[in-house]
Amino acid sequence: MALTKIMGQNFRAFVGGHAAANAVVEETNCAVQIQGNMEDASTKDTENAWTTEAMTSKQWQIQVDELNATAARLKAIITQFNSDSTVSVGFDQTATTAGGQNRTPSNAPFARSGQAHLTDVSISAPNRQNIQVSLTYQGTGALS
Amino acid sequence: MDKGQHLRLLIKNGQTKQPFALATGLTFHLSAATEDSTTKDTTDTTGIWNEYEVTQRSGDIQIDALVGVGSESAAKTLNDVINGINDATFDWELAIVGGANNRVVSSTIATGQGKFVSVNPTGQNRQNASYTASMNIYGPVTVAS
Repeated sequence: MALTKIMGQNFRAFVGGHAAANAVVEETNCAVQIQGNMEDASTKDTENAWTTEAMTSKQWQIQVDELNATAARLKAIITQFNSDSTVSVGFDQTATTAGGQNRTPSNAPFARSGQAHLTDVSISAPNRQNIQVSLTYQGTGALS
Repeated sequence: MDKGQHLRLLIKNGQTKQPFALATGLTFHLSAATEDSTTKDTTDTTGIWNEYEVTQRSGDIQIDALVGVGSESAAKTLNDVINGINDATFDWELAIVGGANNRVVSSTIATGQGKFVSVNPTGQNRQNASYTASMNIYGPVTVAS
């Protein structure tokens, strides 16, 4: 059976748990970066000029953009930023169901989650435009 | 969603709070530096994932505004910003606003201290003269209760 594509609005971030209630409210974009850190392991023993890449560690982060800029939300964001504690962050396909606001997680095969620090907060408030909030969560430990 | 004109930065001047006159934009930015805390003692039970801890926090604020003339004692102006480029700290407040000229605080989000670090007034032909003032956040940011 061929894969069925999904739309961006059904690829959402979850913060604080993997449930519809934890889908990022008024999210406009989420971007996940999973990176393996490579190191050249070639030595004098390597009998050609090619690098011999070895993965030595892995890291991940999720960036979320949202329009939710209520006073309560902004306070919660800065409170989380000030905290040394991590928060559960993940991503999943969400179901398009009536009244569900594209928030119900589908437990897709690609869904992942882990613990993360909120490491970057950018609140942009241009005149006569929507307030935009951009958040970067730096994963710590496994993304599973 | 809220509109940008309803989120303003106010500079405290004694008992008064002064917004930036003719402001057109605000960017409030917080950043945390992290460091991988894994060591040789870290057991690879879940693979080779890095484990980060926050080692430093910092922040900066950018205000975009139009250049105005005349007296505006209740608000910050380009003149105030130019005079403020020094090592002195000031108290700021990030707030949801409304009311007359969108200058009445309805909800305080956070407070802290800052320093003006740069300003770049620009006079482009056939456009409004404008400036961007950049501030560094100095010390912790306190979320309003």
